[in-house]
Amino acid sequence: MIALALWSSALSCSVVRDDSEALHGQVSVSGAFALYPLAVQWANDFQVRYPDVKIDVSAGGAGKGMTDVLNGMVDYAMLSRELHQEEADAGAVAFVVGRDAVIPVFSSDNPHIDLILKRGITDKQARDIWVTGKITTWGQLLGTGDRHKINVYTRSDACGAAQTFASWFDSKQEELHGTAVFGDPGIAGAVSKDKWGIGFNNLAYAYDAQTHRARPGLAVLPIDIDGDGDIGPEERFYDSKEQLVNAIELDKFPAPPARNLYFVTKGAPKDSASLAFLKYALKDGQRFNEPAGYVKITGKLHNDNMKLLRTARKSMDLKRNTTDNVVVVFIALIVFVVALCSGSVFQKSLNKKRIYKQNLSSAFMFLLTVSSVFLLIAMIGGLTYKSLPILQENSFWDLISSSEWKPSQKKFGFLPFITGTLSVTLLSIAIALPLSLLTAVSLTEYSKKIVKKFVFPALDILAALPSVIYGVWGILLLIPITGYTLLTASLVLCVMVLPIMVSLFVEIFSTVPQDLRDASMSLGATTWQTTRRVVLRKSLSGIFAAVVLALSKAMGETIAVMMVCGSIPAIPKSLFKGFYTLPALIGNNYGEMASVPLYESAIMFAALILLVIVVIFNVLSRVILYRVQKGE
Amino acid sequence: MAKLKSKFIEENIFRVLMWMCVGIVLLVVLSIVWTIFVKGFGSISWEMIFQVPGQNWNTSDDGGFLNAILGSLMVVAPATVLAMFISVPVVFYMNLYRRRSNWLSYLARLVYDVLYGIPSIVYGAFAFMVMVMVGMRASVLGGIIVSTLLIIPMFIRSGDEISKSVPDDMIDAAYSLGATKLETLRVVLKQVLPGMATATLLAVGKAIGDAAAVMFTAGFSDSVADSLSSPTATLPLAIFNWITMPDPFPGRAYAAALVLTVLVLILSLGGRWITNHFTKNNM
Repeated sequence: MIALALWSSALSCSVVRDDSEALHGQVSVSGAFALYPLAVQWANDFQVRYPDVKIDVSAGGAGKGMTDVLNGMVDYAMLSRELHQEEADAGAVAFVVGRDAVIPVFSSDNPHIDLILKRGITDKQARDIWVTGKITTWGQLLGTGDRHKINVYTRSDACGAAQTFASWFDSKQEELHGTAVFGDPGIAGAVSKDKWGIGFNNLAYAYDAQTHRARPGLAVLPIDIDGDGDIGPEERFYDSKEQLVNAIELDKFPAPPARNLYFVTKGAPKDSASLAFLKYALKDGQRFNEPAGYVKITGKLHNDNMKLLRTARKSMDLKRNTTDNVVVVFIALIVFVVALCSGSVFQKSLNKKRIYKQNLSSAFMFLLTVSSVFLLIAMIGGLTYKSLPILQENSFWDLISSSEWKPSQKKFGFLPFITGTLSVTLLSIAIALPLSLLTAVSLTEYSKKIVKKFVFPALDILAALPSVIYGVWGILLLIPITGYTLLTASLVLCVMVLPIMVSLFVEIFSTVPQDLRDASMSLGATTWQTTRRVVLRKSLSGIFAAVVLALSKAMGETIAVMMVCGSIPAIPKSLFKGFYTLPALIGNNYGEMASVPLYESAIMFAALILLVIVVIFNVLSRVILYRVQKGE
Repeated sequence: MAKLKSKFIEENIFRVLMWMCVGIVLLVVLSIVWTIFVKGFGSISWEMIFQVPGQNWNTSDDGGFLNAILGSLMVVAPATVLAMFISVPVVFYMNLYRRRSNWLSYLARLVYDVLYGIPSIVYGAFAFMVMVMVGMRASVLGGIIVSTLLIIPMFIRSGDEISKSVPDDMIDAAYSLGATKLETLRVVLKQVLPGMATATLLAVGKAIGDAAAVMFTAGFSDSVADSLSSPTATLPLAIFNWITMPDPFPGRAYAAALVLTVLVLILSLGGRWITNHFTKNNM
C-alpha cells in the first residue's frame, strides 16, 4: 500500500509541466458568497482567452474557502473579511481584488417604507436591534407608536458578511441575535418575504444584477452617518448600485460596513495558470468590477498588491493536492484484488484450483467482515484524537454544561446544542409514537386488505424520500404557518421517523404467536382488548428497542433539521423558538474551522458526542431486537 | 352489563383513533408528494434538466442543473458497485462461511447495524478529516468513498435478511455433493439475486438523496466534473443551497427536488416491483 502510494507520487512528480506553451491546467477557487458573482465573470472571461485552463469557482462561505486554501485543497480562497492572525501565520497571503459593503435591508412591503428611508439607521440603533435587543418594535426604531415587532434575520453560517456587519457596531457575529438563515442569498430571500423583517446583505445580493436597483421585494436601509435622525442629501446614495459604489470609492460610506474583498493564496501561486489568473483578476479583470457592483482597485491598493505578489514566496510546507495520487492508489487497489483473484489460473490440478479459490475467498471475506469493526474503531479513535485539543483547553464537564457559545473568545458551551438535539428528538418521537403504534396495530390486528394496499406503499414512499425533500416540504408547507421553530422541526422529524417505527412495530407484532390472540379472543375479549393486553404487552421490549432506534435515527438527522431549525444557539425555552442541534452545528460551521484552530476541534467534539450517543443507543436496541426476533 | 358496554365503547374509540392515525399518515404522504410535484412542475423546464449552467446562471434563466444530476449519478453509481463488491462477500461470510449463530457473525451483524445507524454527517466529517490528512480536495472520488461507506451497512443489512430465506437443506445438499463453500455460494447466489437487486435499488435511492455526507467531500461546482479529482455538484446539496436563495434559485430548487423525488421513487418502486415479481414466481 505504502510502496504503491510512494510509487504513484513519484510518478506524478516526474511529469514535467510544460509552461512555455499556451496556458493549461486547473485553477480552483472557493469561498465567500460576496465575491462569487464577480469571480464567476472573471473565470468565464479568462477561459475565453485561455480555453485550456479550467477554472472551478464554488461558493461556500469565507471560512470554507480559507479552510480549503490552507489545506492546499484549492488555489484561491475568496475572502470577505480581514485575515486572522492565525491564518497569516499559517502562510495565507491576501490580495485585494475588490471592495464592497454589507448593507442593512428590509422588506419593500413594509408599510412604513417612506419613513424608514427618510430616517435611516444609526450604528447604535443597529446594535440595539441585533445585539442588545433594546429595540424590538418598528415604533421604537422610527419614533412612532407602531407595535409591530421587528423580525430580525442574521446568518447561520460563520461568514464574512456577518462579521463585517457586526464590526460596524463593535460587535462579533456570535453576538448577533435573530433568526439565522443559511447563506447571503438566504437572508435576501427571507427578508423579501417578511414585511416586518430586517437583515443585512452584501451589496451584490441586495441590488439586482440587471436593473442595478434594489432586488424585487428588498429595500436598502440608508445609514444615518451623522446620527441626526434624518438622511441628508450627502447621505443619500442608495438609489442604484452605481451611486453606492461611487460613495464607497469616495469613502462617503463608512468602513466597516464597507470592506475589502480578497483572493487568498497559501504562499505564492503554485503554477503558471493560477498565477496568470491572479494577475488577470488584479488588472484586466477589474473592468468587470463596477458593472457587477464592486469598487475597482486602483492606486495605492493596486501597488500594494503588486508588491505582495513579488514578495510572496512559495511556502515550503505547502501541502500538495494529492487527489490524483489517491485516484491512482484507488485504481491500483482494485487491479490488485482482481489480479489476486485470477491467481488460480496458475494452479495446475483442478482440486488445487478449487482449494486455492476457496481459501482466498475465505480470507478475503474474513478481512472484509472484520474491517467493519476497524472502521468503527477508527471513527471513534479519529474523532477523539481530533477533539483532544479542546478537551485540554476545557474540561469535559465545562464543555457539555456551559451554554456560552463564543468561539472567538474560545468559549465553547455545547449545552444549547445538546438540549436542542434532545428536545427536538424527544418531541418528534412523542408525536410519532402513538401515531405509528396505532397505525401498526391497524395494519396487523385489524388487517383489511384495502388499507394495507394503500398504507404500505405510502410508508415505502416516506421511507424512500431523501431528507432534503422533507426540508423542502417543511419550508414550503410548515414554515409559513409555524416559522423556524422547535415545533416545525419536530413535525418534520416525526414524519421522517414514522416509516421506520411503523415497519419495526409491524415486524415485532408479527412475532407474537397467533395462538395467544386466539386464546384471548375466545375468552370474549374484543380485538382492542386483545391488542392491548396481549400483543402490546408481549412486545413491550421490542417497542422499547424500536423507540430507542428511532431516537438515534432522529438525533443524527442533519439536512432537514438544518433547513427549518432557525440555528439559534440558545436553550429552547418554548415550542415556538428557534434552536440548534449538534448535526446542524457540524453542517453549518465546518467551513470556519481554519480561522480558530480550536473551532475544528470543537466541531469534531460535537461529532464525537453524536457518534457515541448513537452507538450506545444502537447497541442497546439491536441487542434487544435480536432477542425479540429469536424468541419467536 | 355496564362493563360489557364499556369494552365495546373502548373498542370503538380506539377503532376511530386508529383510522384517524392511518388517515393522518396517508394525508402527510399526499401533502408531501403534492407539494413537491405542484411546485416542481410549476418551475421545471426541459432546459433545466438537459443543460449545464450558462454564463448568466446567477441572475437569469440561463442553462440548467444537468451538472448536479450527472454529479449525483457519478458519485452514486461507482459507490454502489464498490459497495456491492464489499458487502456481498460479507453477507455470505456471515451466513455461509460461518454459521449464522457464530459469535463472529453476531459481532459483525451488530457492528454493521451500528454503522447503519451512524448519521451521515458523522461519516462526512470523518471522511473530510481523513481527506485533509492525506491531502485530498473535495472531489468526485471523495464523494464516492463516503457514499460507499454509507451504502455498505444498508446493503449488508438487507442482504442478511434475504439470505435468511435460503433453506439450510439447500446448502447442506451442495456440501454433501463435495462442493467447496465458494461453489455453494453459486447455488445460494441464484436464490438471493432478485432480493439483492431490490436491496441495490433501495440503497442507491438512499445514497442519491443524502446531502450531509457529500457536503464536505464532493464540493460544489457549476461545471460537469471531467475526472475523479474534480469537484462536482450533487442534486440534494443543490436543493439545499438554492432553496433559501432569492429568485431565480428557489424555482430551480423545486425543479431539482422534483427530479430527485422522481428518481428516488422510480428506484424504490422498481425495487418493490422486483420483490413482488420474484415472490410470485417462487411461492
